[in-house]
Amino acid sequence: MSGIYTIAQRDFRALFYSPAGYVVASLFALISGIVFMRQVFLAGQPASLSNLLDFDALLLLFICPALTMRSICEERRQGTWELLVAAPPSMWGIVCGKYIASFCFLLVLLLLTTPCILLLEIYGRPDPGEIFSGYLGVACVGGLYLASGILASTIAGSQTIAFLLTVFFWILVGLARVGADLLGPGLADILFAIEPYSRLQDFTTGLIDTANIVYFLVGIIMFLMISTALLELGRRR
Amino acid sequence: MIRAEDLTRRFGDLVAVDRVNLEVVKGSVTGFLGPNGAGKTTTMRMLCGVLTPSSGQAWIHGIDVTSHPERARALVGYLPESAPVYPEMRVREYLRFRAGLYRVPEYRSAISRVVDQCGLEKVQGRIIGQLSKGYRQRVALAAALLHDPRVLILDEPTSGLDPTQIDMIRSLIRSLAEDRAILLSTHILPEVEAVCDSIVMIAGGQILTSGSVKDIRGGAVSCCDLETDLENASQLIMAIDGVVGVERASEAGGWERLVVEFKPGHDPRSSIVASIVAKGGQIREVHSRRHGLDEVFRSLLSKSADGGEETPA
Repeated sequence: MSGIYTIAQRDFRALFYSPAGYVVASLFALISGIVFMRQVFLAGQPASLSNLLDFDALLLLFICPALTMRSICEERRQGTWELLVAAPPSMWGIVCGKYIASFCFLLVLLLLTTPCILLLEIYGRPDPGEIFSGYLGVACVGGLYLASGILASTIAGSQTIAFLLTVFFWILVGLARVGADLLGPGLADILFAIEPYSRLQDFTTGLIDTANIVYFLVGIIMFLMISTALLELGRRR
Repeated sequence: MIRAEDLTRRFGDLVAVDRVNLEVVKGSVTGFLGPNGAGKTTTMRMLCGVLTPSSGQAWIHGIDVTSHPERARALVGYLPESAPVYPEMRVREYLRFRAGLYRVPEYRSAISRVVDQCGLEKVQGRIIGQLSKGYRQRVALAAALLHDPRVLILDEPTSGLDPTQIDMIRSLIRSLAEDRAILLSTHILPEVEAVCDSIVMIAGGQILTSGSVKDIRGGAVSCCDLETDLENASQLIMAIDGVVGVERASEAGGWERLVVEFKPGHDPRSSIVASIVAKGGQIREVHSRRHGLDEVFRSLLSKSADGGEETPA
């Protein structure tokens, strides 16, 4: 366990070694703020963050792959991967450590939007349950994107490919919701079943459905387990 | 401490390491020698648990690296060939990270120990990416020593260092060997003579020879210089069994200096001396010359290449 914590801590700090981490966090906060002021914080609007959280989940489609694209690719490129796999932590421990680091950064991003809750509290009467479930939903969607990003970083030979692989995969899955005609009924049905954004709507309207929680947990664990299996295969191939 | 039995590794159709057997005991440094692509790094990676063997077994301190990989890995200090480190981290922060990976209990004192051992006092607060290659190499070595491993596997530990740093690292390796087993790979043959107790020579994934440095080098007296006043000594010497050639190097004041070449595996020096003395000649110098390790290595390599050509496809 201490190995997972050590890897998570290093990778989390690594996001702040360069200005990139700060820039991403600042831009996320800024864009969220603009959306909040223009779409949510208006006279006559319900005191709900669902519009903002829907938008943030969309932003995360691009931010999460950017956070995870380095995780394994970069270690391989600079040769430090060999040191990690020669150390006692298991492959699952390494993958989990890397995932936890990026998930903590996601939580930092979400934390930056909490002043919006304060403003709603001051000027309206928002439903705390709905806000909580909304944030939980965004964390779940972001968590799923991050897990798929780790898998892409395992498969891809470069960071750019890892980023594009993740983004295009989720855009393809998203087509099931917005362009089912393009895909044909068979494929559209399959992709719709694994599409996370429509499940987010339940969360942002205050509905915590066990099926949705299970969907996200299974998705995250599955992506991480496939990554682990592929990396373990790398030892044997 | 390190033992491998029939260790084999295939990459597709390519057999990178072919039934390698080796043993490194506590208190010794074994040099792993071989040309590029010989299978040194692949063997070391298997011993460290980075790669899984295709067949065969390896043990670190009696623990099977395949069936108990995590326990075995905890006992090994590994320095890969390119001495990789995270360039964006500070030296002390990096060592702290590595101490966490290996669950070093008293990490502060462990870090101070390796900083001292590897001469990193002046740079411990600096960003690794801004250090010279020599310092980066020492940081990587320090990280490999942090958990006080029983076994050290060092892939070309002195590459890229200046002569002073090389001396420092060599004496550090020698001092570490007192209660550890160390396997180090290198291209530099004088390094083997300076640091190692024994040698394993590998080429084409197969072990060519192994043994103590003294045995491998000492077992190969190749020729001798001889000064005698006997006339026609060359003809007499040529007739002796085990001699393949005699060359006259110089002649001065009635003394002839000859260079006598021996057949591989033969050492007819005593027969030569006895024949000259029997003919009434005098000898004022016999100076035997041994092959250097590089000559032994080259001759073994050419033999293995010849053998390879003879093998039917």
